Amino acid sequence: MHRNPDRDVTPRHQPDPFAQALAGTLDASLAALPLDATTALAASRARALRQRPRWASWSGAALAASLLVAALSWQNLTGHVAVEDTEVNALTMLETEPQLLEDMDMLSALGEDVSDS
Amino acid sequence: MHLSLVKKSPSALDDFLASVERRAYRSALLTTRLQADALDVVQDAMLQLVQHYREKPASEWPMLFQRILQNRLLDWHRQQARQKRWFWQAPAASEDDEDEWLAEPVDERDTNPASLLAATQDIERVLAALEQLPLRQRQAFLLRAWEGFDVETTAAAMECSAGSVKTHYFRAMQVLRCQLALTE
Repeated sequence: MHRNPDRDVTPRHQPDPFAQALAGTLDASLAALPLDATTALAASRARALRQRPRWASWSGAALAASLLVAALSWQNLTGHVAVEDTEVNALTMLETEPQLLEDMDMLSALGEDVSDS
Repeated sequence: MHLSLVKKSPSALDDFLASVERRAYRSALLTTRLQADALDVVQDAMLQLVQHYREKPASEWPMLFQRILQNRLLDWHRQQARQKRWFWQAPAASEDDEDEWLAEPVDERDTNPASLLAATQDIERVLAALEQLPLRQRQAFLLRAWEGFDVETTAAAMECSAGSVKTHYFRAMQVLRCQLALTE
Protein backbone atom coordinates (compact mmCIF):
# COMPACT_ATOMS: atom_id res chain seq x y z
CA MET A 1 0.00 0.00 0.00
CA HIS A 2 1.39 3.38 -0.94
CA ARG A 3 1.94 5.71 1.97
CA ASN A 4 2.07 9.40 1.70
CA PRO A 5 5.58 10.31 2.88
CA ASP A 6 4.38 13.73 4.01
CA ARG A 7 2.25 12.10 6.70
CA ASP A 8 5.30 10.38 8.20
CA VAL A 9 7.29 13.53 8.61
CA THR A 10 7.64 14.48 12.25
CA PRO A 11 6.76 18.13 12.73
CA ARG A 12 10.01 20.02 13.12
CA HIS A 13 10.61 22.38 15.97
CA GLN A 14 9.78 25.88 14.84
CA PRO A 15 12.26 28.33 16.34
CA ASP A 16 10.62 30.93 18.50
CA PRO A 17 11.19 34.41 16.99
CA PHE A 18 11.46 35.86 20.48
CA ALA A 19 14.21 33.37 21.42
CA GLN A 20 15.93 33.96 18.11
CA ALA A 21 15.89 37.71 18.68
CA LEU A 22 17.39 37.25 22.15
CA ALA A 23 20.10 34.99 20.73
CA GLY A 24 20.86 37.62 18.11
CA THR A 25 21.18 40.28 20.78
CA LEU A 26 23.54 38.05 22.76
CA ASP A 27 25.64 37.56 19.64
CA ALA A 28 25.76 41.31 19.21
CA SER A 29 26.85 41.71 22.83
CA LEU A 30 30.02 39.75 22.09
CA ALA A 31 31.31 42.57 19.96
CA ALA A 32 31.23 44.80 23.02
CA LEU A 33 33.48 42.58 25.13
CA PRO A 34 36.38 44.55 26.59
CA LEU A 35 39.81 44.07 25.05
CA ASP A 36 41.40 42.85 28.28
CA ALA A 37 38.81 40.06 28.48
CA THR A 38 39.48 38.88 24.94
CA THR A 39 43.23 39.03 25.59
CA ALA A 40 42.81 37.01 28.78
CA LEU A 41 40.68 34.45 26.93
CA ALA A 42 43.34 34.02 24.27
CA ALA A 43 45.96 33.53 26.99
CA SER A 44 43.76 30.96 28.73
CA ARG A 45 43.34 29.11 25.45
CA ALA A 46 47.08 29.03 24.85
CA ARG A 47 47.65 27.80 28.43
CA ALA A 48 45.03 25.09 27.98
CA LEU A 49 46.54 23.89 24.72
CA ARG A 50 49.94 23.52 26.36
CA GLN A 51 48.39 21.02 28.76
CA ARG A 52 49.47 17.45 28.25
CA PRO A 53 46.67 14.89 28.27
CA ARG A 54 46.31 12.99 31.53
CA TRP A 55 47.25 9.65 29.98
CA ALA A 56 50.53 11.17 28.74
CA SER A 57 51.63 12.21 32.20
CA TRP A 58 50.72 8.78 33.59
CA SER A 59 52.52 6.94 30.81
CA GLY A 60 55.53 9.22 31.23
CA ALA A 61 55.73 8.37 34.91
CA ALA A 62 55.29 4.67 34.15
CA LEU A 63 58.06 4.81 31.54
CA ALA A 64 60.41 6.58 33.97
CA ALA A 65 59.68 3.97 36.65
CA SER A 66 60.27 1.11 34.19
CA LEU A 67 63.59 2.60 33.12
CA LEU A 68 64.66 2.97 36.75
CA VAL A 69 63.76 -0.64 37.55
CA ALA A 70 65.56 -1.85 34.43
CA ALA A 71 68.66 0.16 35.33
CA LEU A 72 68.74 -1.20 38.88
CA SER A 73 68.21 -4.77 37.65
CA TRP A 74 71.03 -4.40 35.15
CA GLN A 75 73.32 -3.00 37.84
CA ASN A 76 72.57 -5.91 40.17
CA LEU A 77 73.04 -8.41 37.38
CA THR A 78 76.39 -7.01 36.29
CA GLY A 79 77.50 -6.73 39.95
CA HIS A 80 76.85 -10.44 40.57
CA VAL A 81 78.71 -11.37 37.42
CA ALA A 82 81.72 -9.31 38.54
CA VAL A 83 81.78 -10.96 41.98
CA GLU A 84 81.46 -14.42 40.48
CA ASP A 85 84.28 -13.63 38.04
CA THR A 86 86.53 -12.50 40.91
CA GLU A 87 85.83 -15.68 42.91
CA VAL A 88 86.56 -17.90 39.91
CA ASN A 89 89.79 -16.04 39.17
CA ALA A 90 91.01 -16.34 42.77
CA LEU A 91 90.34 -20.07 42.93
CA THR A 92 92.04 -20.62 39.57
CA MET A 93 95.10 -18.70 40.78
CA LEU A 94 95.35 -20.73 43.97
CA GLU A 95 95.07 -23.96 42.03
CA THR A 96 97.73 -22.99 39.51
CA GLU A 97 100.01 -21.28 42.01
CA PRO A 98 100.13 -23.41 45.21
CA GLN A 99 103.10 -21.33 46.33
CA LEU A 100 100.71 -18.49 47.01
CA LEU A 101 99.03 -20.43 49.82
CA GLU A 102 102.36 -20.99 51.52
CA ASP A 103 103.19 -17.29 51.13
CA MET A 104 99.86 -16.33 52.63
CA ASP A 105 100.46 -18.66 55.62
CA MET A 106 103.88 -17.15 56.11
CA LEU A 107 102.52 -13.63 55.94
CA SER A 108 99.78 -14.39 58.46
CA ALA A 109 102.32 -15.97 60.81
CA LEU A 110 104.47 -12.85 60.54
CA GLY A 111 101.45 -10.74 61.28
CA GLU A 112 100.71 -12.75 64.43
CA ASP A 113 104.33 -12.41 65.59
CA VAL A 114 104.22 -8.65 65.12
CA SER A 115 100.95 -8.35 67.03
CA ASP A 116 102.31 -10.53 69.89
CA SER A 117 105.40 -8.41 70.28
CA MET B 1 25.73 28.63 15.59
CA HIS B 2 26.07 24.88 15.33
CA LEU B 3 29.60 23.68 15.40
CA SER B 4 30.36 20.67 13.29
CA LEU B 5 34.02 19.82 13.47
CA VAL B 6 34.27 16.38 11.99
CA LYS B 7 37.97 16.21 11.29
CA LYS B 8 40.45 16.30 14.13
CA SER B 9 43.72 18.07 13.45
CA PRO B 10 46.33 19.65 15.73
CA SER B 11 44.75 23.04 15.30
CA ALA B 12 41.17 21.76 15.52
CA LEU B 13 41.08 22.11 19.28
CA ASP B 14 42.52 25.60 19.06
CA ASP B 15 39.90 26.54 16.47
CA PHE B 16 37.15 25.05 18.59
CA LEU B 17 38.19 26.88 21.75
CA ALA B 18 38.58 30.12 19.82
CA SER B 19 35.07 29.71 18.46
CA VAL B 20 33.44 29.17 21.86
CA GLU B 21 35.54 31.22 24.28
CA ARG B 22 33.66 34.51 23.91
CA ARG B 23 30.24 32.95 24.27
CA ALA B 24 31.50 30.90 27.22
CA TYR B 25 32.81 34.07 28.83
CA ARG B 26 29.48 35.86 28.29
CA SER B 27 27.62 32.89 29.81
CA ALA B 28 29.95 32.85 32.80
CA LEU B 29 29.70 36.60 33.24
CA LEU B 30 25.90 36.39 33.35
CA THR B 31 26.25 34.09 36.36
CA THR B 32 29.26 35.49 38.20
CA ARG B 33 28.86 39.16 37.21
CA LEU B 34 32.57 39.42 37.97
CA GLN B 35 35.07 39.52 35.14
CA ALA B 36 37.88 37.77 37.03
CA ASP B 37 35.64 34.93 38.22
CA ALA B 38 34.14 34.49 34.76
CA LEU B 39 37.61 34.28 33.21
CA ASP B 40 38.68 31.73 35.83
CA VAL B 41 35.66 29.57 35.13
CA VAL B 42 36.23 29.62 31.38
CA GLN B 43 39.93 28.87 31.79
CA ASP B 44 39.15 25.92 34.06
CA ALA B 45 36.70 24.59 31.51
CA MET B 46 39.28 24.89 28.72
CA LEU B 47 41.95 23.15 30.79
CA GLN B 48 39.60 20.32 31.69
CA LEU B 49 38.51 19.80 28.10
CA VAL B 50 42.07 19.66 26.82
CA GLN B 51 43.32 17.45 29.61
CA HIS B 52 40.51 14.91 29.62
CA TYR B 53 38.71 15.02 26.29
CA ARG B 54 41.14 16.11 23.56
CA GLU B 55 41.12 12.58 22.15
CA LYS B 56 37.34 12.50 21.90
CA PRO B 57 35.72 13.07 18.49
CA ALA B 58 35.58 16.77 17.70
CA SER B 59 31.83 16.54 17.22
CA GLU B 60 31.49 15.80 20.96
CA TRP B 61 33.55 18.79 22.10
CA PRO B 62 30.71 21.36 22.13
CA MET B 63 28.58 19.26 24.48
CA LEU B 64 31.55 18.23 26.64
CA PHE B 65 32.82 21.78 26.91
CA GLN B 66 29.39 23.06 27.87
CA ARG B 67 28.98 20.30 30.43
CA ILE B 68 32.28 21.23 32.08
CA LEU B 69 31.45 24.93 31.91
CA GLN B 70 27.95 24.53 33.35
CA ASN B 71 29.28 22.30 36.14
CA ARG B 72 31.92 24.90 36.96
CA LEU B 73 29.24 27.59 37.10
CA LEU B 74 27.10 25.41 39.33
CA ASP B 75 30.08 24.89 41.64
CA TRP B 76 30.73 28.64 41.68
CA HIS B 77 27.06 29.31 42.46
CA ARG B 78 27.06 26.84 45.36
CA GLN B 79 30.33 28.20 46.70
CA GLN B 80 28.87 31.72 46.74
CA ALA B 81 25.77 30.46 48.53
CA ARG B 82 27.96 28.77 51.16
CA GLN B 83 30.01 31.92 51.67
CA LYS B 84 26.89 34.03 52.04
CA ARG B 85 25.52 31.60 54.61
CA TRP B 86 28.84 31.67 56.47
CA PHE B 87 28.78 35.46 56.68
CA TRP B 88 25.12 35.50 57.78
CA GLN B 89 23.86 37.10 54.62
CA ALA B 90 20.56 36.33 53.05
CA PRO B 91 21.06 33.12 51.07
CA ALA B 92 20.67 33.27 47.33
CA ALA B 93 17.93 31.25 45.69
CA SER B 94 19.32 27.74 45.64
CA GLU B 95 18.72 25.14 42.97
CA ASP B 96 16.19 23.44 45.19
CA ASP B 97 13.93 26.39 45.85
CA GLU B 98 13.98 27.66 42.29
CA ASP B 99 10.91 25.61 41.55
CA GLU B 100 9.07 27.10 44.49
CA TRP B 101 10.00 30.56 43.34
CA LEU B 102 8.62 29.75 39.95
CA ALA B 103 5.47 28.19 41.25
CA GLU B 104 4.15 31.71 41.55
CA PRO B 105 2.22 32.56 38.40
CA VAL B 106 4.10 34.81 36.05
CA ASP B 107 2.31 37.98 35.10
CA GLU B 108 1.52 37.12 31.50
CA ARG B 109 0.16 40.40 30.31
CA ASP B 110 -0.73 40.57 26.68
CA THR B 111 2.10 42.50 25.16
CA ASN B 112 2.47 43.67 21.65
CA PRO B 113 4.80 41.17 19.96
CA ALA B 114 6.35 43.92 17.88
CA SER B 115 7.25 45.99 20.93
CA LEU B 116 8.48 42.89 22.74
CA LEU B 117 10.73 42.06 19.82
CA ALA B 118 11.94 45.65 19.80
CA ALA B 119 12.82 45.28 23.49
CA THR B 120 15.01 42.32 22.68
CA GLN B 121 17.26 44.59 20.62
CA ASP B 122 18.41 46.43 23.73
CA ILE B 123 21.56 44.61 24.83
CA GLU B 124 21.64 46.01 28.35
CA ARG B 125 18.01 45.11 29.02
CA VAL B 126 18.42 41.63 27.66
CA LEU B 127 21.56 41.01 29.72
CA ALA B 128 19.87 42.37 32.84
CA ALA B 129 16.85 40.12 32.27
CA LEU B 130 19.10 37.09 31.78
CA GLU B 131 21.03 37.90 34.96
CA GLN B 132 17.77 37.81 36.89
CA LEU B 133 17.01 34.24 35.80
CA PRO B 134 17.76 31.36 38.17
CA LEU B 135 20.89 29.51 37.14
CA ARG B 136 19.29 26.37 35.73
CA GLN B 137 16.79 28.34 33.68
CA ARG B 138 19.55 30.55 32.33
CA GLN B 139 21.59 27.47 31.43
CA ALA B 140 18.63 25.89 29.66
CA PHE B 141 17.92 29.08 27.75
CA LEU B 142 21.53 29.71 26.71
CA LEU B 143 22.13 26.14 25.61
CA ARG B 144 18.87 25.78 23.73
CA ALA B 145 18.39 29.22 22.23
CA TRP B 146 21.96 30.50 21.93
CA GLU B 147 24.14 27.43 21.49
CA GLY B 148 21.44 25.80 19.39
CA PHE B 149 21.57 22.47 21.24
CA ASP B 150 18.61 20.14 20.99
CA VAL B 151 16.82 18.98 24.15
CA GLU B 152 18.84 15.76 24.49
CA THR B 153 22.21 17.47 24.08
CA THR B 154 21.15 20.20 26.51
CA ALA B 155 20.11 17.54 28.99
CA ALA B 156 23.49 15.84 28.62
CA ALA B 157 25.30 19.14 29.11
CA MET B 158 23.20 20.05 32.15
CA GLU B 159 23.26 16.47 33.46
CA CYS B 160 19.53 16.34 33.98
CA SER B 161 16.52 14.82 32.23
CA ALA B 162 15.05 16.08 28.98
CA GLY B 163 11.85 16.86 30.86
CA SER B 164 13.72 19.14 33.25
CA VAL B 165 15.32 20.95 30.33
CA LYS B 166 11.91 21.58 28.76
CA THR B 167 10.52 22.87 32.06
CA HIS B 168 13.50 25.14 32.73
CA TYR B 169 13.45 26.47 29.19
CA PHE B 170 9.72 27.10 29.20
CA ARG B 171 9.91 28.96 32.49
CA ALA B 172 12.93 30.95 31.35
CA MET B 173 11.05 32.11 28.27
CA GLN B 174 8.05 33.03 30.40
CA VAL B 175 10.16 35.09 32.79
CA LEU B 176 12.11 36.76 29.98
CA ARG B 177 8.92 37.77 28.17
CA CYS B 178 7.56 39.18 31.39
CA GLN B 179 10.79 40.97 32.33
CA LEU B 180 11.22 42.61 28.95
CA ALA B 181 7.56 43.58 28.79
CA LEU B 182 7.70 45.15 32.26
CA THR B 183 10.77 47.23 31.50
CA GLU B 184 9.27 48.66 28.36
